[in-house]
Amino acid sequence: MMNMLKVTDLIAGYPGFHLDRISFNVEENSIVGIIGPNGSGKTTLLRTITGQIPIQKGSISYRQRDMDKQGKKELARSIAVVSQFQPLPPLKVREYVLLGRIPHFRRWQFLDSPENRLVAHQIMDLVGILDFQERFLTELSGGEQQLCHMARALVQRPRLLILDEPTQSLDISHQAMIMGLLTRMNRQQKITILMVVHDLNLASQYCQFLLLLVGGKIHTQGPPRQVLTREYIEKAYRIPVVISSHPLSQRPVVFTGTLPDSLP
Amino acid sequence: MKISTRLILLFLLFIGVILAGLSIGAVTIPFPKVLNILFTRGTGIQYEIIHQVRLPRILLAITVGGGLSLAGVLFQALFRNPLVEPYTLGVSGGAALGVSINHALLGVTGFTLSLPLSGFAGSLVIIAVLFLLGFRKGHLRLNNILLTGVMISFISSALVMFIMSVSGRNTTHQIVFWIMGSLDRVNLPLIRLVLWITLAILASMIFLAVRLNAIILGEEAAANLGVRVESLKKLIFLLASLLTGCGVSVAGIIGFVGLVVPHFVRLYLSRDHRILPFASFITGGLFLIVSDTLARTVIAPVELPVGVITGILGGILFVYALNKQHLLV
Amino acid sequence: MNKRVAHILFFLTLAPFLNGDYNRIISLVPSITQELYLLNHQANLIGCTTFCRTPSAAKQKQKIGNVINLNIEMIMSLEPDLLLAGDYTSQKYMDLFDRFQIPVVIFKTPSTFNEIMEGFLKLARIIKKEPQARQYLEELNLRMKDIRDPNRNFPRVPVCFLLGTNPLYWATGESYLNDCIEFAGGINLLKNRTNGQVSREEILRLRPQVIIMADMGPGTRVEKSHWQVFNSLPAARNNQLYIVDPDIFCLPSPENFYLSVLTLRRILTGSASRPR
Repeated sequence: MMNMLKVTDLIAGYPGFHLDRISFNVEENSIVGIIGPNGSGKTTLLRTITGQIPIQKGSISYRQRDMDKQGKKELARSIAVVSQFQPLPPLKVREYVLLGRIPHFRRWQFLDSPENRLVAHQIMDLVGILDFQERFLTELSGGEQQLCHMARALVQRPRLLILDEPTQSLDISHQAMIMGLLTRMNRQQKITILMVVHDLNLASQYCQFLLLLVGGKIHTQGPPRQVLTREYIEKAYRIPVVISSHPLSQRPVVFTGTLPDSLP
Repeated sequence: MKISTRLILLFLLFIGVILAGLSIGAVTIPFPKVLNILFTRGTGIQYEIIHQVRLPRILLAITVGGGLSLAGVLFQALFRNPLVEPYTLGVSGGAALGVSINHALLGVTGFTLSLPLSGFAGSLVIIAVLFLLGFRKGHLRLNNILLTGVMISFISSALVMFIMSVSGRNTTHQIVFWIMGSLDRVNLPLIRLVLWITLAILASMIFLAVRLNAIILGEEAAANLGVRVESLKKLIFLLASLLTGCGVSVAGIIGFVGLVVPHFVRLYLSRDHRILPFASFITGGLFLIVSDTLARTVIAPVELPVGVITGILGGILFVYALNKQHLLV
Repeated sequence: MNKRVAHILFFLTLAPFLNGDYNRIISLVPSITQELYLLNHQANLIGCTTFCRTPSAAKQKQKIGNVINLNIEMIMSLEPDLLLAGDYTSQKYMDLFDRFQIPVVIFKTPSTFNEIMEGFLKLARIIKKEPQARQYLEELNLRMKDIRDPNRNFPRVPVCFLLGTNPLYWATGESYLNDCIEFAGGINLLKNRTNGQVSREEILRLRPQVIIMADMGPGTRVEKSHWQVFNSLPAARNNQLYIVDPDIFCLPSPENFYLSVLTLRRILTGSASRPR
């Protein structure tokens, strides 16, 4: 299996905070989750990978070539990003989703090719938003909007999909919808997924590989069973936890333990 | 109604308004005669009124109305803010200041081009200041530019008032009237020059349209779509400022056009920047021709400053559009 | 009662009884300043406006502001015993003069030649030089008769008189320039208008044979060049666009009026013989 993404000894950040010698791999066709307490650098790491934050030391290679050496547009045809806070332009769903085809516009292309429209239609169908493609983004619910963001990323036809907290303010049914969609994309379309998740149990259920970040450093990395242990989680989050296992999947489930009086 | 149908209607309306503007005035010239005069050489009072008085005004209205609307589209895309218009950034303030200084100091020379040139120079100074102040560590900080621009606007106004208070009555009167905006500037070569510049910038929208669509999503999202955001921002800022500077130098300050027209086009035609700039240009030209014709005829033979009509009409239309949804960029 | 009216009435009634020799006079009206020189009373003039430029000796007098903005402190410090104001002098100044009890006489802006003469006589009465004034006016009228269109048979030349640009502002029947034009043998095409703002197109429609422009600066020359392109306009075609000295045409003293008529007469006789 090829490495989709290979991060080596990465040091990056901004005044006041930086990532310290991060090294990990993202294997092709895997779903990798980045977890950790608030302020541990998860978003910073993502934004460094996508190029928003410059690299100070170390390297990131995509598909075995240094990312810095690859053209931005070329990368955009292969990597799609769904950020945590997406501004909502006053567009219709269909118009918004079509924007994701921009990396595929040929140099002098001006109008949407039939191919673009076809891809957009297929993806909207796959994601389940065809019914409201003529409505404005601002009219939809939070969950529906998130599906639109997904669709916009998916029309880019990425090999790698990077997401920052895709289920943050969603109810459990929408959470399940989003995670289900991601799983389908991973299995059927062979899309590699790298996402920041704040919910440890979601990370456990849906990811094959986890990266636990604390204070800008990798605390530990590995499959969920290996990472989600009392030892690592209590040290990282500094509260007592109880680990059990999911009745259906047998994957670890994290519960918060009772707070002892001695904790401030 | 399909978009293509609406576009055709818009174009027809545009042609109609041009013909009406050429026909209406102190001397009413019927349409067929207008067409005749436009395409043949001739003499006589009707010929001269059309070629020397009305045609330059119409061309100027298209140039300035279209140019300001285009600048409005660009600025609103750049700042992702629906209340930004070409004058928010103080470029017009700089032009007004340039012209005021010209009137106050250079009473000696009066060559026809000195006013537009000084206006343009004033706006260039402001553009340079904004660009340098907003440009830190390799990227253009939009918030800085916006706030700085608003402040520059206030400072320029204060300076213009200062110049007016120390100048003679005639100078003050000239400055005030220039600032109020007028399409009665009769210098044809200058109008043609500005028209070509504006059309050239409009044509360049063909290459920028797709990227403009991307930047609506925000700088980060646009970058993730492969767009070179920094160079795009700089380009948009420069083109839009250039359009504003040109427009203000030849016609004075005609407000509201750059604010209202893009909103209207977004509401009734398209938010897509492959259509928006071109439709806004035509709509802006149309709007200004109508305003100017009204300004000329409402209390004839007295001519109102065109800014009065654009302000009132534009204000009413804007409030109307505000009550519809989806106003935000 | 309106303060201004009270003022006018007060001084109109008292004017014949206004005592004394006023030897500290300030003039707020450029034409009045010139009239003081005409009556040889300039020794008693201690202050005037920046626009009081004729005769050139007036430029040496102490300036107390321009026609719109007056320097009150300067006026007070000169301790005038009489102020000569125009009907456009702002009420706020009138109130101040009232408060400081300085006698003020208001002169209405003349709209005919007769009113110019009346204003001149009124001034003369106040400074007790009425006989001299009457004599001067007699002599002036004689001079005027010589140039005042001896040939009543001559057709009147249609004229328009431009007073300002941006916006275009012309002399209507309410201005003394109207009389000036008619004495010189012309007819003011805008005589019956009430609003002096007339558009370019309208003027083209009226087809004046001569256009006179008061020189308001470089803008006037630019404006003239705008008119020169209109071949269908008789005034442009025959090169009858004239820029004139505003210090003569726009300052309605009797002497200036005479000079204006003289100048216009020369222009119009030359132009009367041209094709229309």
